[in-house]
Amino acid sequence: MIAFTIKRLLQTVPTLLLVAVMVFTMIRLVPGDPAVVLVGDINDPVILEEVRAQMGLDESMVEQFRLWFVKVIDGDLGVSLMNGEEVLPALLQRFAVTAQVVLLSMMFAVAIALPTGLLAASRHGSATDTGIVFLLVLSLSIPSFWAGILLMLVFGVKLGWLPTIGYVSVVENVAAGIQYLILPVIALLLGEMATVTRMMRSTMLEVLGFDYITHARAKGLKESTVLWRHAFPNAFAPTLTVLGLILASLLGGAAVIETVFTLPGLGRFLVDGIYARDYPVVQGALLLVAFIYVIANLVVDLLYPIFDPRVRL
Amino acid sequence: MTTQPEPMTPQLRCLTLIANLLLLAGHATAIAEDRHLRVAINTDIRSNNPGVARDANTDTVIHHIVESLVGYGADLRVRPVLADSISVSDDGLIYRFHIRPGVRFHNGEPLTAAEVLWNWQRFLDPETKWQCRRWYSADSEEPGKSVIVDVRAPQPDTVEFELAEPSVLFLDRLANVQCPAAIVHPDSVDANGEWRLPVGTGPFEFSEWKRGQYVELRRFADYHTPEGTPDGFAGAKPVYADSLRFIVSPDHASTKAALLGDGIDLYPGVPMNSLAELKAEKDIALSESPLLGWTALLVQTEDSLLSDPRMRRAIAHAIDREQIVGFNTYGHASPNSSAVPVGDPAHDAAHDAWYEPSREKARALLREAGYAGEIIEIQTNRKYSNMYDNAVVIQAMLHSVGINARLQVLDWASQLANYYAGKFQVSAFSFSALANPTMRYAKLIGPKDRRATYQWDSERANELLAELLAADDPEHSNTIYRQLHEVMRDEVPIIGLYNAHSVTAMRADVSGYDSWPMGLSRLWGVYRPGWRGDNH
Repeated sequence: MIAFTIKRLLQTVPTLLLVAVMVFTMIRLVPGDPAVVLVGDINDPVILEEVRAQMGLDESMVEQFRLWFVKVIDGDLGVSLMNGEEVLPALLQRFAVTAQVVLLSMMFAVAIALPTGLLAASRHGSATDTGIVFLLVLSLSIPSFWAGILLMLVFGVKLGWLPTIGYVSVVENVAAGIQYLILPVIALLLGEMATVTRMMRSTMLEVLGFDYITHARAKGLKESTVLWRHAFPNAFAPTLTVLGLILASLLGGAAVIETVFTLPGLGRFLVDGIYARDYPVVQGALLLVAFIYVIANLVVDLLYPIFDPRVRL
Repeated sequence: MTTQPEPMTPQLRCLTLIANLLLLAGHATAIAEDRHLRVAINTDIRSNNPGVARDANTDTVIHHIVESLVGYGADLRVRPVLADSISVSDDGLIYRFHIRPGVRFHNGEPLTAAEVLWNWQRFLDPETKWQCRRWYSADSEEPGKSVIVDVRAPQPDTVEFELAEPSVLFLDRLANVQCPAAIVHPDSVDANGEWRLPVGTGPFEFSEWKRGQYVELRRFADYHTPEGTPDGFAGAKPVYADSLRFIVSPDHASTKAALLGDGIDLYPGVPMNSLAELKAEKDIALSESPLLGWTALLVQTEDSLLSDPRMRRAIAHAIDREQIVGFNTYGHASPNSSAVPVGDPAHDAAHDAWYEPSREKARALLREAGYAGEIIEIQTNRKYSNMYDNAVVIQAMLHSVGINARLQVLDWASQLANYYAGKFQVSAFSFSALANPTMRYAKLIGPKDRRATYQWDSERANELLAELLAADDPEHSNTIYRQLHEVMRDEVPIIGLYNAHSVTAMRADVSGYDSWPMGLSRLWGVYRPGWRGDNH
């Protein structure tokens, strides 16, 4: 397993290199100019050229890449063209916010989805199953931004129980921090929960049809033992893959939820960076997102043999 | 007989603890909100360095921290701010400012002429990257520039500016809101001359900037307010709030919910389609004002098709401005095709003359110009919904007269880049607020081969602009404005649509807030019940 881990980590190097080249090139192929965004419409082309020179945008693309990449190797992702903020510390701060929301919502989603999926599969075709499937379809049909605004209106505006927008770090103030996290976590949780439940239900249905399950039941084992000890581990392995993908995509930025609740997360940072053509921010954020994907997939791969002993690393 | 309470289970204990913590947090928030105003801004500020890295939100925040020698009053005329008197020599070359006594910087140091000189040396140094250096610098090509030959301090409380030649725009430029000639203390930069933070003279001092979240300012206890009543960026600035928090909230629906849920106190720039809903809320009050920003349709006169004025006139006839203004501002503005804003004292009936909507006349002009159904692309973006909506309706209006108009929806950065390069046929656009119509015309008129952002390149317009830049009598300026509009109507280099309308929504118990044509929020003078009448 150690050799596998080292090998996978080494594989990230060419992956990230490729991502770096692609991101650097593609963001520059998009029409628009960060200097133009910075000076707006109040200025003239002479100043615009001066600003472009200050940003290093008057250099050739190859030279710009060389300058940027040398710094990246030194662990310096540059500074934001828009507000002069250092990109690496900014990314880490934003990632911490996103990670709090995503990990909490993922934790609750899994805690609810696994038993629900199991219950639906074990009562396949019953009213319980139909009810659960109906709720899943409903959850999947509600866009997260709409769920967010709805939650905000109910719990923030009408009931006044929770704050509507803003963010307080749990490190600075645990209780206030939790207050600000509740609504975004719930808004994000709905979609995740439905996806994982659906996956769990379908794989469980498949596993419950296998001969060894019939054999276990024929032995007279309790239904809960059959479900949790015999069926669950085999059904969970494919769900784990889905969990890894969801986790990676959300950690890479839950931009919509972050925008709705004004959370200073990675997704919003990236989207703002794209709109402003803030090249260092976009490049740095996408490198980080690529890295998150690689690590999330690695973790899933490492966990896989625990649930599916047929898999050997 | 008394009964003993049942012992709490660990789960119940845990829940009670969480509930108590949340209540405590609520209590802490309530304490922190004492004399605290929370204002929504839709994007984070760019910097706290005045006039260097900026946008409208940055300008809003920065004007609470810093002040200039002069500023715009509510009537958009230039008034003294850090100065208490201004005199101009007979030849128009020397401007003398007497500094208002008692003004202190946020670090407690008094304002003297020495700090003003230090700031101007800094402004005129290219290394400062001050965006408006070109207005005062001999080496720029800015039309009607106000070249400063010397800045001196004949007395510790007096500053003199010597210009190379008389400039009718000098005071307006000093008062400009996008490039404030803000006087800060030298402590604002470090030993290497690098910017630290603004140590200004304004009613609030810089406190904290959590990027992507909020900017917080606290009341400057030693603020020395000008006398009189509040007057735009000039006049008295009574301060009632102990702190201001500008909260970054990019989503309109969330900002509205936050206002309704008492998560913010003021929401400037409310979309017009939310107006009716917010008006019906008893806990919400609104403040409205026409704005100086000008929404227009740019027409590329260099384009092979649109270089024919008959084509441009046909487009002008095809557009029903009343309809556009009606749906975009919900009847809160009126059409304006003149560069002189509605509400400016110089805007009289002559500026209302424009092409009436007429499909017949438009079709006749198209036939005359030999238009054969060629595609005309209208550039727009989705960032600013008013520009997008305008483009969609204008496309339909052009179709109705037989013009094959197509939308090209770009993101704002791309559309702006095209504006700078002159790469468009027609572009749905909005110009930032400029208080002086002369500055607006100077921005519009000029040779396109030297600067693609000039929208109007004609001999008549250039001659009139030169005359305008030399006019030192307001009546003379007004006459030239009228002539310019007449020529604009004839040549149609741009089709002005309307001056935008601004609405700020606030909690009903917030008083003292006034929207004004400049658009930027002013939070001095704003209070809640019980905030006035004591040591404030």
